Amino acid sequence: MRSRALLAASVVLVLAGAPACSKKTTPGQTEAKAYKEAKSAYYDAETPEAKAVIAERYLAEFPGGEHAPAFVRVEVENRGTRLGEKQRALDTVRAALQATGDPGRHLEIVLTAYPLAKELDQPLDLTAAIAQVEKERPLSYDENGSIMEVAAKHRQWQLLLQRADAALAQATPEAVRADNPGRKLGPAKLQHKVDGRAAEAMTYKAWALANTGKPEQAEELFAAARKRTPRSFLGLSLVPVALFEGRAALQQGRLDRAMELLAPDAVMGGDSTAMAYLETAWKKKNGSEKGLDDYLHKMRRVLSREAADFTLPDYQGEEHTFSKELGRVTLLAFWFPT
Amino acid sequence: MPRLQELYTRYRDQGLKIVAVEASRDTERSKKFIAKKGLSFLLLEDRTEDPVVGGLFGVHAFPTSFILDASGRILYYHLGFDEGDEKKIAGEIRTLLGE
Repeated sequence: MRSRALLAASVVLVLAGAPACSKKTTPGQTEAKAYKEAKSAYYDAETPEAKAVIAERYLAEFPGGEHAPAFVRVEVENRGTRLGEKQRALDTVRAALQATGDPGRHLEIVLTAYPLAKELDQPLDLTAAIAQVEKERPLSYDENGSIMEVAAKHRQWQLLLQRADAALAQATPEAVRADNPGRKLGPAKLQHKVDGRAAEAMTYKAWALANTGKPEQAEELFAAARKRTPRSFLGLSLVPVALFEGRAALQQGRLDRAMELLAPDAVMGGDSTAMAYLETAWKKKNGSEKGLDDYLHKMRRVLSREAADFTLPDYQGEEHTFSKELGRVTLLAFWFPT
Repeated sequence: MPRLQELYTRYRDQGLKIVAVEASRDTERSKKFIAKKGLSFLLLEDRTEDPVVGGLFGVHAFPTSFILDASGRILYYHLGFDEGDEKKIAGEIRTLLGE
Protein backbone atom coordinates (compact mmCIF):
# COMPACT_ATOMS: atom_id res chain seq x y z
CA MET A 1 0.00 0.00 0.00
CA ARG A 2 2.71 2.36 1.01
CA SER A 3 4.91 2.38 -2.04
CA ARG A 4 2.15 3.35 -4.43
CA ALA A 5 -0.02 5.19 -1.96
CA LEU A 6 2.95 7.23 -0.76
CA LEU A 7 4.07 7.91 -4.26
CA ALA A 8 0.57 9.11 -4.89
CA ALA A 9 0.61 11.16 -1.72
CA SER A 10 3.81 12.86 -2.80
CA VAL A 11 2.37 13.65 -6.21
CA VAL A 12 -0.53 15.35 -4.50
CA LEU A 13 1.57 16.91 -1.76
CA VAL A 14 4.08 18.49 -4.08
CA LEU A 15 1.68 19.52 -6.76
CA ALA A 16 -1.70 20.14 -5.19
CA GLY A 17 -0.90 23.55 -3.78
CA ALA A 18 -1.59 25.77 -6.73
CA PRO A 19 0.89 28.56 -7.24
CA ALA A 20 -0.30 32.02 -6.36
CA CYS A 21 2.87 33.79 -7.37
CA SER A 22 6.57 33.32 -6.77
CA LYS A 23 8.15 36.04 -4.72
CA LYS A 24 11.80 36.11 -3.80
CA THR A 25 12.53 34.82 -0.33
CA THR A 26 13.94 37.33 2.10
CA PRO A 27 15.98 36.49 5.18
CA GLY A 28 14.26 36.49 8.52
CA GLN A 29 10.90 35.19 7.39
CA THR A 30 9.43 32.21 9.10
CA GLU A 31 10.01 28.74 7.85
CA ALA A 32 6.32 28.27 7.11
CA LYS A 33 6.29 31.27 4.82
CA ALA A 34 9.51 30.21 3.12
CA TYR A 35 8.03 26.77 2.59
CA LYS A 36 4.88 28.16 1.06
CA GLU A 37 6.87 30.29 -1.36
CA ALA A 38 9.35 27.56 -2.20
CA LYS A 39 6.48 25.18 -2.92
CA SER A 40 4.84 27.72 -5.15
CA ALA A 41 8.12 28.40 -6.97
CA TYR A 42 8.69 24.64 -7.32
CA TYR A 43 5.32 24.32 -8.96
CA ASP A 44 6.27 26.97 -11.51
CA ALA A 45 9.80 25.67 -12.09
CA GLU A 46 10.19 23.90 -15.39
CA THR A 47 13.76 22.57 -15.41
CA PRO A 48 15.57 20.17 -13.05
CA GLU A 49 18.14 22.92 -12.44
CA ALA A 50 15.45 25.39 -11.36
CA LYS A 51 13.84 22.78 -9.08
CA ALA A 52 17.19 21.86 -7.51
CA VAL A 53 18.04 25.51 -6.88
CA ILE A 54 14.74 26.03 -5.05
CA ALA A 55 15.46 23.00 -2.85
CA GLU A 56 19.04 24.11 -2.19
CA ARG A 57 17.94 27.61 -1.19
CA TYR A 58 15.39 26.24 1.26
CA LEU A 59 17.88 23.72 2.66
CA ALA A 60 20.59 26.36 3.05
CA GLU A 61 18.25 28.49 5.10
CA PHE A 62 16.43 25.75 7.04
CA PRO A 63 18.66 22.67 6.88
CA GLY A 64 16.97 21.09 9.89
CA GLY A 65 13.53 22.43 9.06
CA GLU A 66 10.22 20.66 9.12
CA HIS A 67 10.11 20.37 5.34
CA ALA A 68 13.78 19.49 4.86
CA PRO A 69 12.91 15.85 3.95
CA ALA A 70 10.62 17.00 1.13
CA PHE A 71 13.28 19.28 -0.33
CA VAL A 72 15.95 16.62 0.09
CA ARG A 73 13.73 14.50 -2.13
CA VAL A 74 13.56 17.30 -4.70
CA GLU A 75 17.35 17.75 -4.52
CA VAL A 76 18.09 14.02 -4.92
CA GLU A 77 15.66 13.68 -7.82
CA ASN A 78 16.78 16.75 -9.70
CA ARG A 79 20.40 17.56 -8.81
CA GLY A 80 21.28 13.90 -8.29
CA THR A 81 19.25 11.83 -10.76
CA ARG A 82 18.20 14.18 -13.56
CA LEU A 83 21.30 16.38 -13.70
CA GLY A 84 23.68 13.61 -12.63
CA GLU A 85 25.54 15.85 -10.17
CA LYS A 86 25.41 13.13 -7.55
CA GLN A 87 28.22 14.18 -5.24
CA ARG A 88 26.88 17.71 -5.02
CA ALA A 89 23.40 16.36 -4.21
CA LEU A 90 24.80 14.07 -1.52
CA ASP A 91 26.79 16.93 0.05
CA THR A 92 23.57 18.96 0.33
CA VAL A 93 21.87 15.94 1.89
CA ARG A 94 24.67 15.46 4.44
CA ALA A 95 24.49 19.10 5.50
CA ALA A 96 20.75 18.72 6.06
CA LEU A 97 21.34 15.51 8.05
CA GLN A 98 23.85 17.20 10.32
CA ALA A 99 21.47 20.04 11.06
CA THR A 100 18.46 17.81 11.71
CA GLY A 101 17.83 17.19 15.39
CA ASP A 102 14.52 15.43 14.90
CA PRO A 103 15.08 11.64 14.64
CA GLY A 104 12.01 11.08 12.46
CA ARG A 105 13.11 13.67 9.92
CA HIS A 106 16.64 12.31 10.09
CA LEU A 107 15.38 8.83 9.22
CA GLU A 108 13.27 10.15 6.38
CA ILE A 109 16.26 11.93 4.86
CA VAL A 110 18.48 8.85 5.25
CA LEU A 111 15.85 6.72 3.47
CA THR A 112 15.42 9.23 0.65
CA ALA A 113 19.15 9.57 -0.01
CA TYR A 114 20.08 5.94 0.76
CA PRO A 115 20.30 4.69 -2.87
CA LEU A 116 22.29 7.76 -3.95
CA ALA A 117 24.77 7.40 -1.06
CA LYS A 118 25.16 3.69 -1.74
CA GLU A 119 25.80 4.37 -5.41
CA LEU A 120 28.59 6.80 -4.49
CA ASP A 121 29.98 4.23 -2.04
CA GLN A 122 29.48 6.62 0.88
CA PRO A 123 26.65 4.74 2.62
CA LEU A 124 24.36 6.36 5.19
CA ASP A 125 23.83 4.56 8.48
CA LEU A 126 20.25 3.35 8.28
CA THR A 127 20.47 1.12 11.38
CA ALA A 128 21.63 4.04 13.53
CA ALA A 129 18.87 6.26 12.11
CA ILE A 130 16.27 3.63 13.06
CA ALA A 131 17.75 3.22 16.55
CA GLN A 132 17.59 6.98 17.11
CA VAL A 133 13.87 7.04 16.42
CA GLU A 134 13.23 3.95 18.54
CA LYS A 135 14.87 5.61 21.53
CA GLU A 136 11.93 8.04 21.49
CA ARG A 137 9.00 6.10 20.05
CA PRO A 138 8.07 3.05 17.94
CA LEU A 139 8.36 3.54 14.18
CA SER A 140 5.17 4.49 12.37
CA TYR A 141 3.76 2.16 9.74
CA ASP A 142 4.85 4.47 6.93
CA GLU A 143 8.39 4.51 8.30
CA ASN A 144 8.45 0.72 8.42
CA GLY A 145 7.06 0.68 4.89
CA SER A 146 9.76 2.98 3.53
CA ILE A 147 12.46 0.90 5.26
CA MET A 148 11.02 -2.30 3.77
CA GLU A 149 11.21 -0.77 0.32
CA VAL A 150 14.85 0.25 0.78
CA ALA A 151 15.81 -3.06 2.46
CA ALA A 152 14.22 -5.06 -0.38
CA LYS A 153 16.02 -3.02 -3.00
CA HIS A 154 19.38 -3.38 -1.31
CA ARG A 155 18.91 -7.02 -0.35
CA GLN A 156 19.15 -6.52 3.40
CA TRP A 157 17.13 -9.59 4.28
CA GLN A 158 17.43 -9.53 8.08
CA LEU A 159 16.37 -5.89 8.24
CA LEU A 160 13.53 -6.66 5.84
CA LEU A 161 12.28 -9.60 7.94
CA GLN A 162 12.45 -7.58 11.12
CA ARG A 163 10.59 -4.58 9.67
CA ALA A 164 8.00 -6.78 7.94
CA ASP A 165 7.14 -8.37 11.30
CA ALA A 166 6.89 -4.93 12.90
CA ALA A 167 4.69 -3.70 10.03
CA LEU A 168 2.47 -6.79 10.26
CA ALA A 169 1.88 -6.06 13.94
CA GLN A 170 0.63 -2.60 12.83
CA ALA A 171 -1.98 -4.06 10.48
CA THR A 172 -4.81 -3.52 12.98
CA PRO A 173 -7.71 -1.05 13.11
CA GLU A 174 -6.27 0.40 16.36
CA ALA A 175 -2.86 1.05 14.79
CA VAL A 176 -4.42 2.60 11.66
CA ARG A 177 -6.55 4.90 13.82
CA ALA A 178 -3.54 5.86 15.93
CA ASP A 179 -1.64 6.85 12.77
CA ASN A 180 -4.53 8.98 11.47
CA PRO A 181 -5.51 11.12 14.45
CA GLY A 182 -8.52 13.34 13.89
CA ARG A 183 -9.42 11.65 10.62
CA LYS A 184 -12.82 10.08 10.25
CA LEU A 185 -12.41 6.57 8.89
CA GLY A 186 -15.55 4.61 8.09
CA PRO A 187 -15.50 0.83 8.58
CA ALA A 188 -14.82 0.16 4.87
CA LYS A 189 -11.93 2.62 4.61
CA LEU A 190 -10.46 1.35 7.85
CA GLN A 191 -10.61 -2.26 6.65
CA HIS A 192 -9.09 -1.21 3.31
CA LYS A 193 -6.11 0.31 5.12
CA VAL A 194 -5.70 -2.64 7.48
CA ASP A 195 -5.79 -5.07 4.54
CA GLY A 196 -3.31 -2.94 2.61
CA ARG A 197 -0.86 -2.95 5.50
CA ALA A 198 -1.21 -6.69 6.08
CA ALA A 199 -0.79 -7.50 2.39
CA GLU A 200 2.23 -5.26 2.01
CA ALA A 201 3.99 -6.57 5.12
CA MET A 202 3.31 -10.18 4.08
CA THR A 203 4.59 -9.46 0.58
CA TYR A 204 7.90 -8.11 1.84
CA LYS A 205 8.28 -10.88 4.41
CA ALA A 206 7.62 -13.45 1.70
CA TRP A 207 10.20 -11.79 -0.56
CA ALA A 208 12.81 -11.97 2.24
CA LEU A 209 11.94 -15.64 2.90
CA ALA A 210 12.17 -16.47 -0.81
CA ASN A 211 15.68 -15.03 -0.80
CA THR A 212 16.85 -16.76 2.36
CA GLY A 213 16.19 -20.35 1.35
CA LYS A 214 12.57 -20.69 2.49
CA PRO A 215 10.58 -20.88 -0.76
CA GLU A 216 7.65 -22.89 0.67
CA GLN A 217 6.98 -20.43 3.45
CA ALA A 218 7.36 -17.60 0.96
CA GLU A 219 4.80 -19.13 -1.38
CA GLU A 220 2.25 -19.48 1.41
CA LEU A 221 2.71 -15.87 2.48
CA PHE A 222 2.52 -14.56 -1.08
CA ALA A 223 -0.78 -16.42 -1.53
CA ALA A 224 -2.12 -14.91 1.70
CA ALA A 225 -1.03 -11.42 0.60
CA ARG A 226 -2.70 -11.89 -2.79
CA LYS A 227 -5.99 -12.79 -1.08
CA ARG A 228 -5.78 -9.87 1.30
CA THR A 229 -4.63 -7.01 -0.93
CA PRO A 230 -7.03 -4.23 -1.87
CA ARG A 231 -7.38 -3.97 -5.64
CA SER A 232 -7.95 -1.18 -8.11
CA PHE A 233 -10.95 -0.85 -10.40
CA LEU A 234 -8.93 -2.82 -12.94
CA GLY A 235 -8.24 -5.65 -10.53
CA LEU A 236 -4.62 -4.71 -9.98
CA SER A 237 -3.20 -5.19 -6.52
CA LEU A 238 -2.46 -1.93 -4.72
CA VAL A 239 0.58 -3.47 -3.03
CA PRO A 240 3.43 -4.94 -5.09
CA VAL A 241 2.58 -8.59 -4.33
CA ALA A 242 2.36 -9.64 -7.98
CA LEU A 243 5.70 -8.02 -8.74
CA PHE A 244 7.59 -9.77 -5.93
CA GLU A 245 5.81 -13.10 -6.29
CA GLY A 246 6.50 -12.92 -10.02
CA ARG A 247 10.17 -12.21 -9.38
CA ALA A 248 10.36 -15.12 -6.93
CA ALA A 249 8.82 -17.44 -9.54
CA LEU A 250 11.30 -16.14 -12.11
CA GLN A 251 14.23 -16.83 -9.76
CA GLN A 252 12.97 -20.40 -9.32
CA GLY A 253 12.64 -20.89 -13.07
CA ARG A 254 8.83 -21.17 -13.01
CA LEU A 255 8.52 -19.01 -16.09
CA ASP A 256 4.84 -19.45 -16.99
CA ARG A 257 3.80 -18.62 -13.46
CA ALA A 258 6.12 -15.60 -13.44
CA MET A 259 4.56 -14.26 -16.64
CA GLU A 260 1.03 -14.86 -15.40
CA LEU A 261 1.81 -12.89 -12.22
CA LEU A 262 3.71 -10.03 -13.88
CA ALA A 263 1.50 -9.44 -16.92
CA PRO A 264 -1.36 -7.47 -15.30
CA ASP A 265 0.90 -4.83 -13.69
CA ALA A 266 3.10 -4.71 -16.79
CA VAL A 267 0.41 -4.25 -19.42
CA MET A 268 -2.44 -2.61 -17.51
CA GLY A 269 -0.55 -0.77 -14.81
CA GLY A 270 2.23 0.59 -16.98
CA ASP A 271 4.67 -0.76 -14.38
CA SER A 272 8.05 -0.68 -16.10
CA THR A 273 9.70 -2.87 -13.45
CA ALA A 274 7.08 -5.58 -13.91
CA MET A 275 7.49 -5.22 -17.69
CA ALA A 276 11.26 -5.68 -17.49
CA TYR A 277 10.91 -8.93 -15.49
CA LEU A 278 8.13 -10.10 -17.79
CA GLU A 279 10.45 -9.62 -20.77
CA THR A 280 13.19 -11.55 -18.97
CA ALA A 281 10.79 -14.42 -18.29
CA TRP A 282 9.60 -14.41 -21.91
CA LYS A 283 13.13 -14.50 -23.30
CA LYS A 284 14.16 -17.31 -20.95
CA LYS A 285 11.19 -19.33 -22.06
CA ASN A 286 11.26 -18.59 -25.78
CA GLY A 287 14.92 -17.86 -26.42
CA SER A 288 14.22 -14.44 -27.95
CA GLU A 289 11.86 -11.48 -27.88
CA LYS A 290 9.93 -12.92 -30.80
CA GLY A 291 6.20 -13.11 -30.15
CA LEU A 292 6.35 -10.94 -27.04
CA ASP A 293 4.44 -8.06 -28.63
CA ASP A 294 1.63 -10.37 -29.69
CA TYR A 295 1.52 -11.85 -26.22
CA LEU A 296 1.31 -8.38 -24.61
CA HIS A 297 -1.39 -7.39 -27.06
CA LYS A 298 -3.41 -10.48 -26.26
CA MET A 299 -3.02 -9.95 -22.51
CA ARG A 300 -4.20 -6.37 -22.86
CA ARG A 301 -7.42 -7.55 -24.48
CA VAL A 302 -7.90 -10.30 -21.91
CA LEU A 303 -7.36 -7.96 -18.97
CA SER A 304 -9.24 -4.94 -20.30
CA ARG A 305 -12.43 -3.80 -18.64
CA GLU A 306 -15.42 -1.77 -19.76
CA ALA A 307 -15.40 1.76 -18.36
CA ALA A 308 -18.21 2.95 -16.14
CA ASP A 309 -20.37 5.71 -17.62
CA PHE A 310 -21.05 9.06 -15.99
CA THR A 311 -22.45 12.51 -16.70
CA LEU A 312 -20.78 15.72 -15.52
CA PRO A 313 -20.93 19.41 -16.46
CA ASP A 314 -18.17 21.27 -18.28
CA TYR A 315 -17.07 24.73 -17.15
CA GLN A 316 -19.88 26.38 -19.11
CA GLY A 317 -22.38 24.25 -17.22
CA GLU A 318 -23.26 22.00 -20.15
CA GLU A 319 -23.72 18.32 -19.25
CA HIS A 320 -21.67 15.63 -21.03
CA THR A 321 -22.15 11.88 -20.94
CA PHE A 322 -18.82 10.12 -21.12
CA SER A 323 -19.90 7.24 -23.38
CA LYS A 324 -20.95 9.79 -26.04
CA GLU A 325 -17.55 11.49 -26.00
CA LEU A 326 -15.40 8.51 -27.01
CA GLY A 327 -12.92 8.84 -29.87
CA ARG A 328 -10.93 6.15 -31.67
CA VAL A 329 -8.76 6.38 -28.59
CA THR A 330 -9.77 8.25 -25.46
CA LEU A 331 -7.58 9.45 -22.64
CA LEU A 332 -9.59 9.87 -19.46
CA ALA A 333 -7.62 11.89 -16.94
CA PHE A 334 -8.46 12.54 -13.31
CA TRP A 335 -6.73 15.72 -12.36
CA PHE A 336 -6.05 17.49 -9.09
CA PRO A 337 -7.69 20.85 -8.56
CA THR A 338 -5.72 23.50 -10.43
CA MET B 1 -2.61 20.00 -18.06
CA PRO B 2 -0.46 21.75 -20.68
CA ARG B 3 1.14 18.36 -21.34
CA LEU B 4 -2.28 16.90 -22.01
CA GLN B 5 -2.91 19.76 -24.41
CA GLU B 6 0.30 18.90 -26.28
CA LEU B 7 -0.84 15.29 -26.63
CA TYR B 8 -4.25 16.40 -27.78
CA THR B 9 -2.89 18.85 -30.35
CA ARG B 10 -0.59 16.20 -31.75
CA TYR B 11 -3.08 13.32 -32.03
CA ARG B 12 -6.58 14.76 -32.27
CA ASP B 13 -6.68 14.60 -36.05
CA GLN B 14 -5.98 10.89 -35.84
CA GLY B 15 -8.95 10.37 -33.53
CA LEU B 16 -7.68 11.01 -30.00
CA LYS B 17 -10.14 12.49 -27.53
CA ILE B 18 -9.22 13.68 -24.10
CA VAL B 19 -11.68 13.97 -21.25
CA ALA B 20 -10.31 15.48 -18.05
CA VAL B 21 -12.28 15.26 -14.83
CA GLU B 22 -11.30 17.72 -12.18
CA ALA B 23 -12.34 17.40 -8.57
CA SER B 24 -12.95 21.12 -8.57
CA ARG B 25 -12.79 23.39 -5.58
CA ASP B 26 -12.78 26.73 -7.30
CA THR B 27 -14.66 27.02 -10.59
CA GLU B 28 -13.61 30.60 -11.37
CA ARG B 29 -9.96 29.86 -10.82
CA SER B 30 -10.17 26.75 -13.01
CA LYS B 31 -11.86 28.74 -15.77
CA LYS B 32 -9.05 31.28 -15.71
CA PHE B 33 -6.45 28.50 -15.78
CA ILE B 34 -8.15 26.83 -18.76
CA ALA B 35 -8.25 30.11 -20.69
CA LYS B 36 -4.67 31.03 -19.79
CA LYS B 37 -3.27 27.67 -20.86
CA GLY B 38 -5.51 27.48 -23.92
CA LEU B 39 -6.87 24.03 -23.10
CA SER B 40 -9.17 22.86 -25.87
CA PHE B 41 -10.02 19.30 -24.85
CA LEU B 42 -13.13 18.46 -22.81
CA LEU B 43 -12.82 19.45 -19.17
CA LEU B 44 -15.49 18.31 -16.75
CA GLU B 45 -16.05 19.39 -13.22
CA ASP B 46 -16.84 17.00 -10.37
CA ARG B 47 -17.86 19.16 -7.47
CA THR B 48 -19.29 16.46 -5.25
CA GLU B 49 -17.87 16.28 -1.74
CA ASP B 50 -16.28 12.85 -2.18
CA PRO B 51 -15.78 12.87 -5.97
CA VAL B 52 -18.30 10.34 -7.24
CA VAL B 53 -16.78 9.68 -10.65
CA GLY B 54 -13.28 9.22 -9.25
CA GLY B 55 -14.82 6.68 -6.88
CA LEU B 56 -16.48 4.90 -9.79
CA PHE B 57 -13.07 4.39 -11.38
CA GLY B 58 -11.30 3.58 -8.14
CA VAL B 59 -9.14 6.68 -8.41
CA HIS B 60 -7.25 7.11 -5.16
CA ALA B 61 -4.64 9.68 -6.20
CA PHE B 62 -4.09 12.38 -8.79
CA PRO B 63 -3.28 12.52 -11.58
CA THR B 64 -4.59 9.15 -12.75
CA SER B 65 -5.08 8.39 -16.45
CA PHE B 66 -6.95 5.69 -18.30
CA ILE B 67 -6.69 4.97 -21.99
CA LEU B 68 -9.74 3.49 -23.70
CA ASP B 69 -10.35 2.01 -27.13
CA ALA B 70 -13.21 3.02 -29.42
CA SER B 71 -15.62 0.58 -27.73
CA GLY B 72 -15.00 2.10 -24.31
CA ARG B 73 -12.81 -0.64 -22.88
CA ILE B 74 -10.01 0.46 -20.58
CA LEU B 75 -6.71 -0.83 -21.89
CA TYR B 76 -4.26 1.11 -19.77
CA TYR B 77 -4.05 2.70 -16.36
CA HIS B 78 -1.43 5.12 -15.20
CA LEU B 79 -0.71 6.98 -12.00
CA GLY B 80 1.26 10.23 -12.16
CA PHE B 81 2.28 12.34 -15.10
CA ASP B 82 6.01 13.05 -15.11
CA GLU B 83 8.29 13.61 -18.05
CA GLY B 84 8.91 9.88 -18.64
CA ASP B 85 5.23 9.05 -18.14
CA GLU B 86 4.28 11.36 -20.92
CA LYS B 87 6.33 9.39 -23.42
CA LYS B 88 4.88 6.13 -22.17
CA ILE B 89 1.32 7.41 -22.48
CA ALA B 90 2.03 8.88 -25.92
CA GLY B 91 3.48 5.50 -26.96
CA GLU B 92 0.34 3.68 -25.85
CA ILE B 93 -1.83 6.17 -27.71
CA ARG B 94 0.21 5.79 -30.89
CA THR B 95 0.01 2.00 -30.69
CA LEU B 96 -3.76 2.10 -30.33
CA LEU B 97 -4.25 4.71 -33.06
CA GLY B 98 -2.17 2.54 -35.37
CA GLU B 99 -4.33 -0.54 -34.91
